[in-house]
Amino acid sequence: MTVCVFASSSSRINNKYGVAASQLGALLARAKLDVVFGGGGIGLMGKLADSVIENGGTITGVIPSFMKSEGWDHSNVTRMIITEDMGERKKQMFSMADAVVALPGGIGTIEELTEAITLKQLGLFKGPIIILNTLDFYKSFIEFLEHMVSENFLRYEHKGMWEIADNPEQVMVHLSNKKSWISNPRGIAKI
Amino acid sequence: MALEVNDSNFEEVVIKSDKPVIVDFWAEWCGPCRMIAPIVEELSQEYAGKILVTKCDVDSNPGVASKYGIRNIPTVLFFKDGKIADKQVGAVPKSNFVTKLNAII
Repeated sequence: MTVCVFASSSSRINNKYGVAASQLGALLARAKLDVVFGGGGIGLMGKLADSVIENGGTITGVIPSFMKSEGWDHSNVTRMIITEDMGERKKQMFSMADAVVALPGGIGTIEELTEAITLKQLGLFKGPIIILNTLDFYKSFIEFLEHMVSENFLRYEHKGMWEIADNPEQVMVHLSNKKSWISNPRGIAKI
Repeated sequence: MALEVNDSNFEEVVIKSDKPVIVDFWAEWCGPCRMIAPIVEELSQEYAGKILVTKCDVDSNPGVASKYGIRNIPTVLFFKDGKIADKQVGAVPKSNFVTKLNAII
């Protein structure tokens, strides 16, 4: 099973976010799950990758060539796929992903997370989508999703597309949970 | 057709070649690798007799991949007289390969 992790590259954040990213990396490696991520060398991406490697796991980065030229890539991952651009990067990551985990992050991370949810809503991605809500980072985002439901921009059933984990251990529980979302997502894709 | 090289025949085919050799390091699950595969095939036809065009699956051949430190894929290595003469990382236009090839033949 390959777990695709989306995460921030910011290094100016509360250390508790980094600790959770490292814990998740260790848990994924010890569970022998392959990890794919955005290939960044710093921030939560860097912490995650360092931890996977330290714990003997396998991690593949996917990074656009311009980011590599800027030196933003992690230097020690198992494998790094060099893509032409951002769009191809996401396509590559989704093509490898059996599950998606979103750690706290900025615009790029939110964009990746919401694309995962969009693909799942359309039946184009079927795996679990787990939001790691360290320090309640995603509180207002989750409330916004609830608001979409209450205003009928999303159906109530769509709330089953994502799982919220308060800590890395809960991420692992959600990953091992075999329950799948509805069998015919496209049937309710049109609100 | 690009010739498949592997952990067992790499030394014989690539290192001991009397012509320059390019090696396309790729993996089945790598999208950008699939993008450059047709370019590599074209080069094998256009430069037939002048260079040897090969490809190496990094998953099946960890020995070669590790020896040459192939972490990034796609990576194309250009060998001349058994030594690395040039390198191209990532999916780039055909002209980039042509320029590098013309410099070593």
